[in-house]
Amino acid sequence: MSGPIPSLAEASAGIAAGTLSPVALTEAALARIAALDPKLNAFITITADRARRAAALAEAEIKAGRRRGPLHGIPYALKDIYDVAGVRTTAHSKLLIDNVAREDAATTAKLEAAGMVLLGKLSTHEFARGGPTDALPFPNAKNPWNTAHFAGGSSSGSGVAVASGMVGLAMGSDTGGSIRLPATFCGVVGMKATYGVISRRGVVPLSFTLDHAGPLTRSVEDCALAMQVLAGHDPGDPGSAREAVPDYSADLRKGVAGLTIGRARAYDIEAGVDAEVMAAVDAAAEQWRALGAKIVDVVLPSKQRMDACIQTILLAEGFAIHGEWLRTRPQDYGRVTRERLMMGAFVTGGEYVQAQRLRRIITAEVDAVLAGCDAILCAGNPTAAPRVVDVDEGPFRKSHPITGPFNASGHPALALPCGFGASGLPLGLQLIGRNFGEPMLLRIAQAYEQAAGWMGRRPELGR
Amino acid sequence: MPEPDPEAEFDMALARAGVVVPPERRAVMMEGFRAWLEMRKLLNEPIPLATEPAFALTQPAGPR
Repeated sequence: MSGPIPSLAEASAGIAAGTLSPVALTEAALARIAALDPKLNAFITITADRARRAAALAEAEIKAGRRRGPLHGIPYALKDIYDVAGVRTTAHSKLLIDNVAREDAATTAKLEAAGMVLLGKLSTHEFARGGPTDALPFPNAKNPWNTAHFAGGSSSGSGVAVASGMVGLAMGSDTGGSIRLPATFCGVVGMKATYGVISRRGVVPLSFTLDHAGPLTRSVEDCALAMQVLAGHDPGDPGSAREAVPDYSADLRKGVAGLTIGRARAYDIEAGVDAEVMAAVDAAAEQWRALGAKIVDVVLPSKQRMDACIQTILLAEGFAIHGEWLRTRPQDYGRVTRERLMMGAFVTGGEYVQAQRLRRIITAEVDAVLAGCDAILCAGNPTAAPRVVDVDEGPFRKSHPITGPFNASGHPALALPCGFGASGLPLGLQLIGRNFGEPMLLRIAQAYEQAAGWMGRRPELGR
Repeated sequence: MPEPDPEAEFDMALARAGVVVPPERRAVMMEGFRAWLEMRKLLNEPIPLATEPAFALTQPAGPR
């Protein structure tokens, strides 16, 4: 096997049919990492020996008729803020360079129980907060579509590893867009599920009430397969939801006839979405209309007001987590991370509480919009991936991500490729759904993905 | 009431938090602080007392 490794669905079908071996698949993934990672820096730690042992075990179990499920024997990788017992979790930082986890994160444990094969730990912006040029102990990940352009963050290595065909599933985390932005810039699918659907236990926190763990995959179908393993109540996560886990794949092929999609064009305009992204998102809306959906205009709460809510919470909670190190080891952070975290010193207790109260109002306002449609459609980012040298790495961004408001509201949001810009870089959209409405988002996304056909395109470095 | 002096508030907040901004980064951090001062004005909308922050930590019963 050479070239990009197959999608989760393709690999699963091959293993089920006996035409693909977990050992061969794992060796192919390791060979691809060896060939591409020196150019892309997606991985911090490669767990090759562990992967070979896990693949051999999976192969033996499957041959003996003990296949655990559709993802048994298929490789995956983790953003390096997820714990794996016996493996270091660095958060891409000097501060955690020797931090070896004692236990698996809840999500790691679920993926392992499903029989998946860990390939290693992936690059991130430091503590999921820094930027792409910080001087850190490990190099920053590079966008396979054009290495001079931003891969997105903070789950940068996750987006790069999936887009370049090193792995079919990479776990990321999303506090203000850190799954959806790398998915958009790298041309893959990224899911920030409803707050509480996927456990955060064993994932290095940045902001307790905004953090979401979630998958980046090659396709919508793969996202559904991953969600099936990842979702579920965890008593060890204080924010974990007590919701029954639905069948995420059941509705994938039901189409969109009769559904209503709310196009949040005014929100995109307020966010400064440029002409080519706006045209791509509008074209996606037309595609859904052609497939039988009703497209209506919707008006979301002001982005500026939602930004104030999320930024206040993010600054305060991030400072609560990092304050001690900012006082005692500030020199051990990268400059961008340190300065962004230090901004939390300016938030008072009263402002934090007021932001949490405003959050309730904003959430209700987004709920009211969703009462009139099955999903909200907006851009994944105002532009295609900027050049790395043009990324705003100041302590307080001049423009805040278009993704962030849905971390404050907690609604599920899916990033999906929707074309390519003049520069040849991927463009992306977001679908926002009702609480615990991930199956509906996947259904809507699948219909578009199959009709649009963007998934067939690969970056030069990912072919 | 006079507007608080941003420079004084900046220094006081950092001192209270016990963190130090190197002199060569003060101007950049101050620029960020001034942007934050503008943003925080948006938090001051009237909110009913019944809208408690504790609600934010539980899943809302929005439409399904």
